[in-house]
Amino acid sequence: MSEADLGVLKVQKELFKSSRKEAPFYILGIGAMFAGTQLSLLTSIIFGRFVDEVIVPKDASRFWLYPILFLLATLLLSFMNYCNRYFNDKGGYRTIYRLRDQMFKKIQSQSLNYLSTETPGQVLAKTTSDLDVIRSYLSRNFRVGLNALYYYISIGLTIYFIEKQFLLVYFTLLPILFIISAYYGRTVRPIIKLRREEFGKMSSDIQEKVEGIEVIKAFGAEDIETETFRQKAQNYLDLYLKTVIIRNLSIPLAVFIVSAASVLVVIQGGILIINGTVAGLTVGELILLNLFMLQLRTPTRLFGNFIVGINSVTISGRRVFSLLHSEEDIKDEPDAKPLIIQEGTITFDDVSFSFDGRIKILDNLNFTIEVGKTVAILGSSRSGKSTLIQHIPRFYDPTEGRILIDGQDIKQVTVDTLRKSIGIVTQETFLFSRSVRDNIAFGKPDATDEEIKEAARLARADEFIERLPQGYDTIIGERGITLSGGQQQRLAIARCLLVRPKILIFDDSTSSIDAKTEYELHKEISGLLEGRTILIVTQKLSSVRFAEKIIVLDEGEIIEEGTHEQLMENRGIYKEIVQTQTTFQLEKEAIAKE
Amino acid sequence: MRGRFTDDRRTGEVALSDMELLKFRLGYVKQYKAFVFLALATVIAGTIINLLPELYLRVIFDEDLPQGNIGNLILHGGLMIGLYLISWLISFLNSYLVSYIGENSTYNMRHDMFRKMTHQSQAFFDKNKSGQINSRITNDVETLSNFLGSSFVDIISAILQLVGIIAIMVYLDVELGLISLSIIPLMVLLALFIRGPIRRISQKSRSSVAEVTTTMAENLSGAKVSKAFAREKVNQQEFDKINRKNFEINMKATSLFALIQPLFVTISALSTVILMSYTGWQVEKYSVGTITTFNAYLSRFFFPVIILTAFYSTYQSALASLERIYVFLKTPIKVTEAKNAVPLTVEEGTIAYESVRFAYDNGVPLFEGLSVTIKGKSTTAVVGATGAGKSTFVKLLARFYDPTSGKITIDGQDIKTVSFKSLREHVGLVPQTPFLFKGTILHNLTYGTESVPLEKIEKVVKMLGLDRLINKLPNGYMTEISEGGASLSMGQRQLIAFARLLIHDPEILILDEATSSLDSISEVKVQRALEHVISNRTAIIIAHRLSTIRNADRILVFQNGRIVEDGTHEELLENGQVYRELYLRQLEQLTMPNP
Repeated sequence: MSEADLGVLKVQKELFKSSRKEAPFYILGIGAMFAGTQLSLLTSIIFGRFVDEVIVPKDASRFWLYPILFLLATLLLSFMNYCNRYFNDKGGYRTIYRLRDQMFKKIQSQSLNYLSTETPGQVLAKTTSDLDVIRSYLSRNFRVGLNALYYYISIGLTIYFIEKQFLLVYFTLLPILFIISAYYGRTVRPIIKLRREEFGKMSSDIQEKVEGIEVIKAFGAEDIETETFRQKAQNYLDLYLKTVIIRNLSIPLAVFIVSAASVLVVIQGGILIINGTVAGLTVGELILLNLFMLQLRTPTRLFGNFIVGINSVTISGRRVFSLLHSEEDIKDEPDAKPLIIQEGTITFDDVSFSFDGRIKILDNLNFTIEVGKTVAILGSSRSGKSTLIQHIPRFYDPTEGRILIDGQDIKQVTVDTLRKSIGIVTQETFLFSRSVRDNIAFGKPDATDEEIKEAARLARADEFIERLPQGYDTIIGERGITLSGGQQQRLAIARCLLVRPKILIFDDSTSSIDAKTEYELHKEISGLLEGRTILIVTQKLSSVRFAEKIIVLDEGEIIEEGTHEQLMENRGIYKEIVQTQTTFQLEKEAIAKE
Repeated sequence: MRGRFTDDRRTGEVALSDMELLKFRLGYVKQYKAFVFLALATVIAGTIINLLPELYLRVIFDEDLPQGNIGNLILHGGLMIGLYLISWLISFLNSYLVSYIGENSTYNMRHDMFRKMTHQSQAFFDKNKSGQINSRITNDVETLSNFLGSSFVDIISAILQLVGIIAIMVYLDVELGLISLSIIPLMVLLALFIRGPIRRISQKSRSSVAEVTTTMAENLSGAKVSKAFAREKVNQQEFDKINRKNFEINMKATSLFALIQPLFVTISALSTVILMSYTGWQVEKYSVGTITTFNAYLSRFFFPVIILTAFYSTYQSALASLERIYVFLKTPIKVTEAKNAVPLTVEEGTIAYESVRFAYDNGVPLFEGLSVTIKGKSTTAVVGATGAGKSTFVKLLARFYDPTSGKITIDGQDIKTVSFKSLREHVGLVPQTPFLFKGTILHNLTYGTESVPLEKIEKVVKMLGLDRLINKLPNGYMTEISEGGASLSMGQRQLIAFARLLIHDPEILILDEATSSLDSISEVKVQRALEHVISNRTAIIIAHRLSTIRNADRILVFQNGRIVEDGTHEELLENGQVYRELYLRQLEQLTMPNP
């Protein structure tokens, strides 16, 4: 379901569906709210009666009854208000707790292709701020709308029973108030949103300029940048003042109208009492009418908030539900079988891939990687080499063609068994902010200490880990210590080696490791080679030389393929790069000889 | 960084009294003096007028109705409506004025802060993280502006309201007034009592939300890794635990928050109960009007009390922000233009450092009498280990820092005596990581250069081999690039930074080469472009690439703030101990180890 398919009503329907489990809480809460509203109107009635029965006739005989009734009503009212807030919040928090779990699950199972259409920040916002909007709609704005309605009806009915004549004032007032709340709900929200955006722009402008301060200074652009910033700050200022105007012209206007109407009722009622035209209208009732008219402020404000709420929940709901209902484009086929690896031969059969259907990232690739061999794919940055190897664990599915492992089409096997048999060390080493041990054991949480240490040793990571303050228990990353690029890459390699996969893929994973360590590391890995297939993707020549077969990739096409010796006879790019390297190599040997 | 946003405590870095801070803030309000008086007048008038209508209600019920005086009834009713109208208009005027003053003065403050920031020397940026600077200019100013725009006015009006209500009640009936108001202490006590628990639970709730967000963010960034290890189920369990905890804390918070409103309602209802009991008992003494009016005022009591009890914490955090802003604006600028600066003229572009001394802000000395002359129109490579002083050496020339003593001259002119504008026109700098600004390619190419003919741009672009890239982009020169140039490869960014410099066309060039290696193909392109960039210019390059070092006319080897070796590549390879070692290590990085 795309965002465009989710209209206002559809979002409401989805909200209803996803909060159905909490229905008892909402019903209890809303019931308490209605009771509370009724009780609050009742307190006014008690006060009115008090005036009529005690003050006007100056009759103190039963005066104690009214304060007691008033107190009881208030206590009950307070209790109802508490239940109202508590149960509605409980419903709201529970609903988004479940929704958040579902979203997490969805995000985990969604393909990288889907996730890459948005920045992580945008996806994150759906699970945090958008869910918060939904929660506050479910536990507040929604019931507030109902409450406004209840107020209007209840006040109308009371007026009807006291004196029908005043309904005229009431019904003239309603549409005016309604228009004002609608105006407020519709205008204020977009402006506040705009204001927040301007604030964001201002903030990212500062951030950018601080980061680029060297360039600003080098080009003497301080004053120009200050002027650009001034304009952004000016925009923000203008929007701020605009919000102030709208805010103070809408709801306060409604409050004024209601107050004026409450006085008009007193005047009209007063004339009726003086002229004695209507039998039975008492002073107490007039006071009551006055109080009720003043009470109309509350639903007017509530209704404005309700409209604000509907608008924002539609936007947020759209984002949340389109994620929750998104089609998982990479998942098990209905008759998927577990992958069985006998040898580990990988075959690319006419594979093409495109993100957008226009530009081909991979163009008709055909090659076979045989078991027990190390194959290297060499290409410059953006040549499509990472995309290529990410097809093997099905991070992406080819647009055309198929990929086979030991003759089994990887689309026909279960994703779980496929990924568990492949070890991939990605280009951007991502480590989690937890201990070194937990990071190495990420793919096998129940690994023994020996296994972890052995993996670290193979990845040439054991030495630096032991030098860390708490050794294997050192917390790294955002909440811990920062490792160098090379150290991170070695940990990622250890993490991968621990699970002993049949197929090992290194995607530029030694770019920050110095040549000597890299050499040792590859020697270790070659020792593991028996019965395994190793694929190295790189832009560095030094990583290629362990390979028995080299594939040179450019613009998504294979331009050279073969052993080192074969390629050196080719006079292609490969040979050119090797020759530059050789010059340095020779020079080094010359210096060393002296 | 995040923590500092919400920090509501004073830093105590500087000993400033509240009065001094307020005086500093008032400096920004000075130019709106007339508005300030008007705003104050409207607050007072608005609050008083707002309290009056109910008095007429009493007159209507006690005099007009019993007397059957319709004329007076309409008159008093009309007066009430008039008062409501005036009160609305005045409160509108007041809100607008207050926002106008507050926002305009904060806007000026923000503008000053940004200007101050751009003119600060490099030392300032070495010490302050970008997030902190950002937080000062955005969040701290915002906190202050919110305080001035709402809390401050709320307080004045709350105090006036309370005083007004009490005065009116006592005026109407001393006895009844005192009895009804007896619940005030109870209300204040309650407000103060619940503050602690509320703050504690809010804090807990915030940190549990942060935990959910961090976990979610980490799993998003690490999605590839999780998939690679097929670990989705374990992750789900871990997340559910954190999510569950967040739910439970939120429910705890709710059970507390839900109590607040009912408690206040009950207490304020108590005053009505007291009023009813007392007047019912003493029924002879009180009229309908008095009781109704009293009740109306009592219902207004609740709000100002809450505002007053919440005031102290907003006041404290606004003051903390104000203090940080004050420190920010009062931080001296270390590198300033000379009073009667003359424009720099460059002929040859010969640079001389004469007994230059320099120490970092923390007092650790770096250069202790450094002297070197660099011939015009030559290329000098600066090499040495990290922390040897290479970067500071070149930044002194661009006056990112000033020497503690000694001087630096360009063609005999002390750079301290020339204008900033002319210095920057003649001395260009390319930082290590090519930084591109958000905006179009064209904007980035012509950055800091006024009115460049298109031919010149095209010529440079072609010379550096950028034309192929630009032609391939959807909107050519007008293609928007994202912040920092993330959509372009490192090699492409490097080339654009070179082009920007060539369009600016300075005679003297400072270049800090990137340490991380480019891929083999880009490497060749950048190297070729570099040759165009340095030809016929005085160039000082902090060099990392072997070919750059080898091709330089002269190499300066830095060690611990001193130039230890000086000569051409061949000379140094022959005689230079340090250089030889350094060069060998570079080779080692690039080539395969000897078998």
